[in-house]
Amino acid sequence: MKFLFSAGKGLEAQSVRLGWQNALRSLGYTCVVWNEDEKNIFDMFDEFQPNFFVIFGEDLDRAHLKAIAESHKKAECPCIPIIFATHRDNVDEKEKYLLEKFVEKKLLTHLFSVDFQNHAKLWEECLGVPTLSCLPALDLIRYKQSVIDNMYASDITFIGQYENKKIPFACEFLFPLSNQGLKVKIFGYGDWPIANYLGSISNYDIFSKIVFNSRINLSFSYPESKTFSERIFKIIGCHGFPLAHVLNENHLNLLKELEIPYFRDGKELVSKLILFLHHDQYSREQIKNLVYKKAIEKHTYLHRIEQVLSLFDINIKDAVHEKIRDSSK
Amino acid sequence: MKKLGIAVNNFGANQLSCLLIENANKFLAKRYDIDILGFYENSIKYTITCNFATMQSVEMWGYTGPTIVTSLNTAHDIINIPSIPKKYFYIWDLEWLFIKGKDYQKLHEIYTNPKLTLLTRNEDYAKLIEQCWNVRVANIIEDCNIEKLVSTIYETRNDS
Repeated sequence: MKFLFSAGKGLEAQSVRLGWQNALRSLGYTCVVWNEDEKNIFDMFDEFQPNFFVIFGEDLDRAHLKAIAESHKKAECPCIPIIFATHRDNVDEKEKYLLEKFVEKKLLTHLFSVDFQNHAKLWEECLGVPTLSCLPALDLIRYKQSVIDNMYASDITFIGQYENKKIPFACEFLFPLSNQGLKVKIFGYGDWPIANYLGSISNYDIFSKIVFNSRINLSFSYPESKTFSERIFKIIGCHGFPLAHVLNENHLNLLKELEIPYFRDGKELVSKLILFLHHDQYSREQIKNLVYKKAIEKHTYLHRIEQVLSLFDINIKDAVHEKIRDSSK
Repeated sequence: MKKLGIAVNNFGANQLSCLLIENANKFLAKRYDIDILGFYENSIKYTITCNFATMQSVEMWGYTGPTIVTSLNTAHDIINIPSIPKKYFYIWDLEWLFIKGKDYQKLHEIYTNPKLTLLTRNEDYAKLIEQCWNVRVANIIEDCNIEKLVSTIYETRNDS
């Protein structure tokens, strides 16, 4: 089976796309990313002849619509678009308009939302097409357990992009921690205005080393974003100790399901930090292992793919289970 | 005669260069057993006349004395020079704070490089460097004090 992917505009879309690609490749499928600057969509379809076209809502335009419609007419095995609605609180008007055209032309059988069930329902009501919640998940290929290295050791680590909207939360949660005598390190894109911001990480091995060697890895976002970030799964994948900020009820349920330690506000963060920083290595290992075990039971990209392909009557359950069994050894 | 190389970005009008030239001139007026050589990356008009030789930093490739670098650029250059026996990084500025779009791996390779012995100018800098990069700052030398720099390099127990 051949999968064609749109590149994805935002960092998060790209991250999800990489997760999908890695998982599909590990199952033996062919994946190609289409770069719109290099080749037009019609040529791409003619040359590659994909079975599935995975496209992010933010990448949608009329050309895609036409290309998919033509491919449906021409090919014996028509391309099935898997469209991810981008993660906004409301339905994006431009995305909605284009997706309605897809529905009109009967090109769209399912839609996938990179968010929780409530967001998926919003799309379902809007378009009348079954919409599945398809959250970011754990990428078993990119994020792996690292080794103990004192050069990368820290008490608290946060890896994330600096955005204006994150400033109030950073001021409440992150920045004060540096004044508590703790070894706090911040990484990510966007030039954080703080001395312990040490730059962006472009290498997965280094990422794993940093996360694995940090005593606590914070995961927080701003609540208005309604974004479910892949960050927490990256931490789990590297066998790091996660401490997540609760965004909403759905998020809380997921954190509880995965048994991930969480905090709701600055006060709770401080109390949890005190608690977990005093934990010995053994109890920390126990928590980390439990979280990892829970995550690979249900929340890897392999599970997401299995769920999506089952809607198209393709059963890959056994292959997925085998892969997960291999990686958990 | 003992040698000492010091690499700076330039010998123009900046605090590091002024202090370095002034202190080196004073030091050389008293001590004749040390041969100081200044390396610069950019040639700029000197604000104070140097009483020691200066040359372009590319000449470090043939230099055989212990050398102190003072910036990330010069530190990056010196790491792979085989002829320099001892390499010191005198962290005058916390440069990683000002770099736009910095890459952690590149900075980590310099600050934690085992070939470089770290020196800095005050206690606060040392604390921050140790906290951020998990490395030990070997000595704190204020205001580019050449006497202290020389004693750090030549008068520690294991040195020849």
